[in-house]
Amino acid sequence: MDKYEKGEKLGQGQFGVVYKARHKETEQIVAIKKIHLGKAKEGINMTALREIKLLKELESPYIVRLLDVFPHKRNLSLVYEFLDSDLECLIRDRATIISAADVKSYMQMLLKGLVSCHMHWILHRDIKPNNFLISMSGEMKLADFGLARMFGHPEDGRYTSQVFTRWYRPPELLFGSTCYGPSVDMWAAGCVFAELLLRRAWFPGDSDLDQLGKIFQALGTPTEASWPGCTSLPQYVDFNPTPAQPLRTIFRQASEDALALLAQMVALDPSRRISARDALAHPYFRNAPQPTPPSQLPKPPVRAHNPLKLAAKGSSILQAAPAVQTGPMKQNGSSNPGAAMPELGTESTTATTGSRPAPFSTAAAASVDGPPTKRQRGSDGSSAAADVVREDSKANPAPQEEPASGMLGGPVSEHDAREDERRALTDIGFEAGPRPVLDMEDLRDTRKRKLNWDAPLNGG
Amino acid sequence: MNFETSSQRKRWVFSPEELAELRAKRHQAVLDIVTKEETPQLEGAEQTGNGDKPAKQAKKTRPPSLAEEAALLKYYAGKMQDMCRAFGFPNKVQAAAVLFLKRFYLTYSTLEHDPKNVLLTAIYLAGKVEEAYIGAEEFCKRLQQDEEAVLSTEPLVLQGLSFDLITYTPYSSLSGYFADLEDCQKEGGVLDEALQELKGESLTKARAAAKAAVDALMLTDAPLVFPPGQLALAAMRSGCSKVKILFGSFLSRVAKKAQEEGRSGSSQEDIVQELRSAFARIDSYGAEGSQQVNADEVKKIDRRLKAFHTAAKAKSASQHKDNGLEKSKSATQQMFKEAEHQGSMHGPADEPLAKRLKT
Repeated sequence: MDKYEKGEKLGQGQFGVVYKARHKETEQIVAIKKIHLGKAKEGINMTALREIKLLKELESPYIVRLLDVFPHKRNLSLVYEFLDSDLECLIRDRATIISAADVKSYMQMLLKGLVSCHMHWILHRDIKPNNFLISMSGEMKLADFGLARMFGHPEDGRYTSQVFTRWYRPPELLFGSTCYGPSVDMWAAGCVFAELLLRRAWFPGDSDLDQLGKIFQALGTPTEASWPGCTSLPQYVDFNPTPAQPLRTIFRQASEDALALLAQMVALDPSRRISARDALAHPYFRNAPQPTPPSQLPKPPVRAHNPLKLAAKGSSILQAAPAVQTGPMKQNGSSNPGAAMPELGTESTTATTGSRPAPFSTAAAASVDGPPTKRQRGSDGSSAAADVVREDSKANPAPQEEPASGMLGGPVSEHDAREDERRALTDIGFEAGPRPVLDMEDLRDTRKRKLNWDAPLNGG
Repeated sequence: MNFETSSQRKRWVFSPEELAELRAKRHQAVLDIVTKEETPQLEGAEQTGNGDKPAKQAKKTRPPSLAEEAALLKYYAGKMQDMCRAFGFPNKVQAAAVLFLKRFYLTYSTLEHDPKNVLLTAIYLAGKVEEAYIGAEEFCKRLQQDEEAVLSTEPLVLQGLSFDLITYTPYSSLSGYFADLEDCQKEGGVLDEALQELKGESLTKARAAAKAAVDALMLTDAPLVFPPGQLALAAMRSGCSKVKILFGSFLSRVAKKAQEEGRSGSSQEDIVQELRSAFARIDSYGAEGSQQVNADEVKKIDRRLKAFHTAAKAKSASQHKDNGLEKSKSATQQMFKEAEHQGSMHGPADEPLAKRLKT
């Protein structure tokens, strides 16, 4: 702790306080999240542990960096690079104009972050605008890995379906799927894409059922033909058949290629959803207009309660802020997608590396030992078996996955983000309820389900 | 492939020499501190007692040597495997827990922290990390252990691991290779006759033998020296030899794939050669791993370690008393103080590790 000069409090999360601070030697501005350990009955909580273990493996210019972890008094301090704002603030800020080229730039950075996660066998499971932090120099990075987990291990049991904030939760999870892959993140990324275009959430459901209703109203109700296997999902519910609306009627100003990509990101059938890597290669990103270079993106509104007060109080910190180069990225206009996407195709069984069997191919059901590595490349398109509970989980009841233990905000806590949002909403006279986070009802639901899981499995 | 960019590859792969050096340094550092403190006590004993008593005393409290520490840890690692099996944890939990223990005792010495406490926390933590979670209460109840002790050791263990928690172990690679083998059989014309016909019961047998080979390797330094893929291949080879089948044609296939994917610039023959020489080294680790540790021997070592800890604790307690600090700090607080002192992710504990070269 001696290494850092503590600045103002940025927020109060469920598990601790977040402070702004400056490294005394390097002058780097950081956000320090203090997690209190004192009364913890289960030691370090899962949320913090997931965040630490995953961020220590991930090094990408599009993912927020965990710079240090240390125990201090009875806390564990997590030190992150500091970024001033987030995508939600930007989308909500009516004073900011987001051009088509800007949207393309944000989506490119978003997808590069996701490629990095998925390449490392990590599902983020909480993709939403306020988890994409934005620096004053325009770089956008994915944060908050508190709900994230590794996937694709042959010994994996089932995953919890209680992840993602409801508005961004994919239909298969709303139907209770416990066997899924990177396509869940892609759905949410599609929702963020839509939100950038609409400047409001696309599917602001106020209950899980309403969420499904809103999705199907736009995209049409699924059938066994359009989404094989959907009716056998654990919590499948029949909806009155509704045809899909043409996306054009919802997104009047968007370009054709943007809508083509969006449609592939929000395919109801997860096995038909485009992967992050393929999405980056979509013509949308090659066609004009070119994505705006990050340095020329609109300056995001700073997520402070009162910007003036902040300036007066921490002026030295504020001045230092733009000079902080975030992580390894010294980005200029010529962002090179190749650099951010190391060869996915080279994952393989080789002499020098461990192999990792594929996550969800049907072979996984047949062989307890899991399928061979070469299928893993196609993990995203690896068939509808993704949503069929695997046979081997019956034979080998692995301990259940810990349900989402709650939300720990990014460098700024949920609490404050919501606070900001309410303020932002009143400022612009925009009518909407506060955004849902994983609320207590959701958590209770998880617990209930966990009990059910102990009983013989329901329809799989 | 993510092993290439993993924290394991970057920070937790060593040469045998580096391992020896790391351990010797830490061992000596602890001894230096404690013996400095002990000197006056021994002098006192000499003044009051008769000549040969202190010598005997010294022999009884002689701290375990490096080799003895290693034997103790190997014994405990085997116990951890048994415990994890009893809990029905998936292999990945067991493997992570054992690797946590190994990594922890590169940062610290058993002279500082009793492996008995550390191993329980390592298993508990591995369960959490590998998403095969078991509550602390249930975990401790089943092992009849103190919950508080397991939980309060957690920050220390995390620290000893430099918070690097993702581990790559040979078990999943092994599954992958066996699945590859079956694919090759389906494809046909890739393998020689014996491997092509390795099916049914003998395949099951080979698989079990390979898994046992991995279990044995996990008790040695091998997972700190070799990438998991190589360990898995070596284990598979030894599994095949258990059913008297030569492995060469599959190895060529693996090498061919590696070469095609251009990971290394070397030719297929070079890769095979390289692997074969690794296998020779891995086999000797395997032989070492399958040798049972003598339980009586371990008990003796353990008794001496306990005596050493007690002496060291008594010493530091009396020092704390001098400073009037003894009662004001709870055990946990002291631990945190120590942890802080040891440094964080980038602290002094990290220094010897940072020397590790491979990038």
